[in-house]
Amino acid sequence: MSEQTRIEKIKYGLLKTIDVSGFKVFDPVVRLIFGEEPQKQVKDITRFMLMPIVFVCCCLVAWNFIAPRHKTKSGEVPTPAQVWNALTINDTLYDRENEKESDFALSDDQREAKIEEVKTLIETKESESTKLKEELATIEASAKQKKAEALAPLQAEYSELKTTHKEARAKRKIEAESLAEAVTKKKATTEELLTFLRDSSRLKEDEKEKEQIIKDQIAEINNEKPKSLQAAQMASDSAATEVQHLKKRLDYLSSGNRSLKVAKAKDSASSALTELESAKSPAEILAAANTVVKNEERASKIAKQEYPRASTIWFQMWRSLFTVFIGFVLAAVVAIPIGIMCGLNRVAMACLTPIISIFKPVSPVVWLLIFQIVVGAFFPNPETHPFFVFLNSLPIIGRLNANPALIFSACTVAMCALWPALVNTALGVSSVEKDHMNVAKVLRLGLWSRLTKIIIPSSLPLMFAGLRISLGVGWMVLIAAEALSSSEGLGKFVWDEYQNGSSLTFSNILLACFVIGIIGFILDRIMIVLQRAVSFDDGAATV
Amino acid sequence: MSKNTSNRYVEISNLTKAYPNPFGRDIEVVKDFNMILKKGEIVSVIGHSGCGKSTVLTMVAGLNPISAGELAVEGKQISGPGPDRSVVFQSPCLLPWMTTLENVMLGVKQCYPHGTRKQRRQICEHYLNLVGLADSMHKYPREMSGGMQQRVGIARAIALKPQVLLLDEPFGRLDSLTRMDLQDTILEILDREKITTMVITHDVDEAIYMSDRICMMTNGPEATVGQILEVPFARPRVRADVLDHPRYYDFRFALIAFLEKQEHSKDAHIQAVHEKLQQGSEEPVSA
Amino acid sequence: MTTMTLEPSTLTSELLTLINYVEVWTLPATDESESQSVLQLDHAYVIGREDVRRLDSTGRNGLGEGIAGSAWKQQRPVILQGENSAVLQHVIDISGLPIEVLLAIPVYRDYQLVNVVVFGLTAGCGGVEIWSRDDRDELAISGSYYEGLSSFEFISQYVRFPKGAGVPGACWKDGRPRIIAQPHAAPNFIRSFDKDPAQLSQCIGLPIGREYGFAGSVILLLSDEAKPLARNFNLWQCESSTPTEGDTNPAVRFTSSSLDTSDLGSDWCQSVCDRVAIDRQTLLLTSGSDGLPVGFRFGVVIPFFCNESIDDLAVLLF
Repeated sequence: MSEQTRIEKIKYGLLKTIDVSGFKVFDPVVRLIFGEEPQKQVKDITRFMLMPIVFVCCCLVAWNFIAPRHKTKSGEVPTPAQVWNALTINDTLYDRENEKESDFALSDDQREAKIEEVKTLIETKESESTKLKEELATIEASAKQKKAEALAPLQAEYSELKTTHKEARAKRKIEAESLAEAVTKKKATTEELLTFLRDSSRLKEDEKEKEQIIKDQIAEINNEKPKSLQAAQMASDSAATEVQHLKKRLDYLSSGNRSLKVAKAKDSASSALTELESAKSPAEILAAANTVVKNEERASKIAKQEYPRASTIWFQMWRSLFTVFIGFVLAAVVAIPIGIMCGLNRVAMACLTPIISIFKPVSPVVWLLIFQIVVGAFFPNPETHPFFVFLNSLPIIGRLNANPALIFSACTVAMCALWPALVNTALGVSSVEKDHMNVAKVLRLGLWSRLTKIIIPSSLPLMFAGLRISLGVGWMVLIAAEALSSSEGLGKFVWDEYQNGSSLTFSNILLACFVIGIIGFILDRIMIVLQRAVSFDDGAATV
Repeated sequence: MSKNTSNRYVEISNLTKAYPNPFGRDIEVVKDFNMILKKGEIVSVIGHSGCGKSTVLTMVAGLNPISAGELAVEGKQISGPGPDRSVVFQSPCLLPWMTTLENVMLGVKQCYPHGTRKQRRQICEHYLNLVGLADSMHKYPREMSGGMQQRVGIARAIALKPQVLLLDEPFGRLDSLTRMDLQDTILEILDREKITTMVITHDVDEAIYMSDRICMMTNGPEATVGQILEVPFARPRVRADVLDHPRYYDFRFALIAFLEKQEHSKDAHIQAVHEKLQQGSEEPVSA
Repeated sequence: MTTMTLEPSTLTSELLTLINYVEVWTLPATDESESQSVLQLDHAYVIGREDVRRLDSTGRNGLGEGIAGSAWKQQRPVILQGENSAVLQHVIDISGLPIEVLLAIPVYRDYQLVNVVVFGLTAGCGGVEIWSRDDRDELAISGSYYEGLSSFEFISQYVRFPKGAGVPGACWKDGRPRIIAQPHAAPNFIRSFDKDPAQLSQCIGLPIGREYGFAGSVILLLSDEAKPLARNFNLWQCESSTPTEGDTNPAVRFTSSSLDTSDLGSDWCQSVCDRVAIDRQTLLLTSGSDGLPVGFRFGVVIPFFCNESIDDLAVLLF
């Protein structure tokens, strides 16, 4: 009996968690596991889980089918596989940046050990790479041969066609000339000559068309790249880049390494110092002393230097998340108190209504430009500004390269995300149930306890609904703002990809599209969970 | 006029509620409502729905501004809401984000500002015990039935140690079994605590069973006291005894006859008031 | 508000009125205090089936003595009924008359008692109620007599009327008498007598009090169609209540508020009004004296004063 109640407890606990987190779809799965009405659950699972999955798969298939058939300026529309591939490529890019970064910072024994490791890796990879290159060469050769074989008859046909057509044309020319003569002698009418010329021109068109068909066929064969060749090329390319990457790493471990650079600077400083001691003339002394100081400065500067990371999609993602968080917090901090004030006081509401109605529909782009100017004025020298120095010295946030661009992006987000939160808070506060306010009146609660005990708790669900909309709006606005202002983030990633036009461009943009979408979804889910947690009844709607 | 405060514990004189009428004279929903309550008395106010009984109660509670007239408790003029007149609303009006105990505590904190937390808690527990909710102190309103929620509402009102308890159709939304149960609970508490009580109801049997006198209201607009009926049954009352009383149905008939008469004369009355509003004459409506 | 009017032509000798005995007591205006002055019985009439008989008897009642004296003392109407010893000890022996109940109505002028009118009521369907103010400023029954209205009687003892509520409350509020015809249909008549076998068709409310605008008590007279209180019961309302100063014979105009007086003739009305305005007390109309309309044998006119001026007149014709 107790065992059973324990299981029941677990079951209902799980169900409640699922409910609160808004994943009601999994409800039948849990029930099925606990053996509750299996038939009904299976039915529910097929209806509400399998069907969506099947539908999404259908969409993927359709995408896969349609994409290659649409040719654009920047190549074919990528298929799902290509987007997936782009994901792995971006991922390895990220990993490599990480490796290089750690290599740059290594020193002493660890560095030595790493050099050995990388060197052996290079050896194996290089041999692999050469092998792959050889394979590629043979495959290429065979492909060429195959192509030549396929082309030979076509080309023969083409030249033959061309000669026959040439002859036909010459013949027609002579005929026309004779006909013209006949006209002068009145043996034929001009009408006949014109008809003949029209016919011959039509024939010429036909001949050209025939030639073109064969020409197209030849071009197609020429352009054709057998799958095996493609794969071999790709494998050899990736091996080559891998080798290149390893060589770069070696560089960062040896000459480009921070500790070595520091040591070098220090060395030159100490050598300058010995020079200083041996120097005689005042000019020599001064020069040597100068060198010492300069090198010392350099050494300390290098020691503080960070690896100059290339921005990858994941870095951009974290940066965007941080920006949107700052913007969202800003919006909430401004919107909630003002919203409460508006909800409580009709005069305040009346005062703010014109401001809200005028600024709410303003495009984020305008806000972006305004904040770019305004924020820029606050930080004339961002590198040394204590605020950014402080932010960048923080453990995790420091890696995100806080700069004025981050602040004005965040401000833009806040400005656009402000309104839903404000309006909803005001609505929530002003629509506190009259009964509850009566309770407060009868109990003669003071303003503070009225706020904390009744008004805020009862308006929390609406408030959070507003914040949820705010976060969604903020996330959308942020991406656009980043794309426009080239502030680091996912928006900039998309914009850069669009601008640099490599073979991966289109895939990367689609990849970014999915990343943005999924993050937006996760943020929304988090807000739903929060909203549920503060709701005293089953208020929040699932979407 | 004697100033005997226990015989004239609550004095409601010429209570009037007028709402502005943009096209004529103000519409007086309740006009010249007079009532005097003895200390410890339970008075029901009965009338057709919409006649203004709840308006009277909310005015007495101070939740609805008084257009004209006066209200005195224990000889002192009263205006505005206060814990000396606690209200049990038709809907339980519990704060859904608080447990039963916290809901009761909210008011107790206001009324016993000098008590320690423990003392206040004991007070809350005592009253929750009285209404039979000792086991549900930490439940949230959504986890309880309507009847239980209303019990919390009653405990919250009584825990304030009010001079006057105002019940605004407190059982209106409950099924009849729960309703009877709750009536008995309230009567039991009132018999013990002797709180002067005003009950708004539209249930004839409830009015007879619960109250010492019944105030019948005429239909609005310009609703006022139409008649008062003393209910002489001794306290504490036992429901079965009251129902079996040979004269019970005379009381019941008197109430129903009054209500029916109001219903019949409604149209004529409304017509008269309407004409008066249009003419703007000073003549009182003589029916 | 109609009924009560009886066309003189339709009068038959069979008709009996509920009131069948009238006494008028007068308090002579003296400088002495109340305790030293004495009520004098001026007139006593028995209204029989065929004629009106004047009883030649004089009586004196001190404060609190007899029914008239106790009405004087209590400052409100008094009811005595049945075998009550006080009835039997009345100055006039009425034990031989078919009188069920005696009702004494004090008449005040400027806070002073002027008359006490005593009505004797015969058996018949109806009732008399005296509503007096209690300590909660509500009207409660302080004396009553009913016939054939047991449920009504029972519930009435628990009923209270605040100012303005019901017929008694309305009389209290404006200080004026009123006639309610068909009370079961009248919105103002709140109590229901539907449960009782007897049906009331007429209700008369008379405010009795010493102060302006304040009725210490209200008399409610209830009767059915078959046996009205009087053959004609009229209430007249004063038009201009303030008599012109220095004018010994003020022209006071009255309009009937309750009944059509055209049958009685407006001239006759005016003459009666003028007489009351001169006497400033209860007026008796006997067949011997002039001024009784054709077909009637007897009449009583009770004035309702507001300070010195007459507000209303109740005219009972038999």
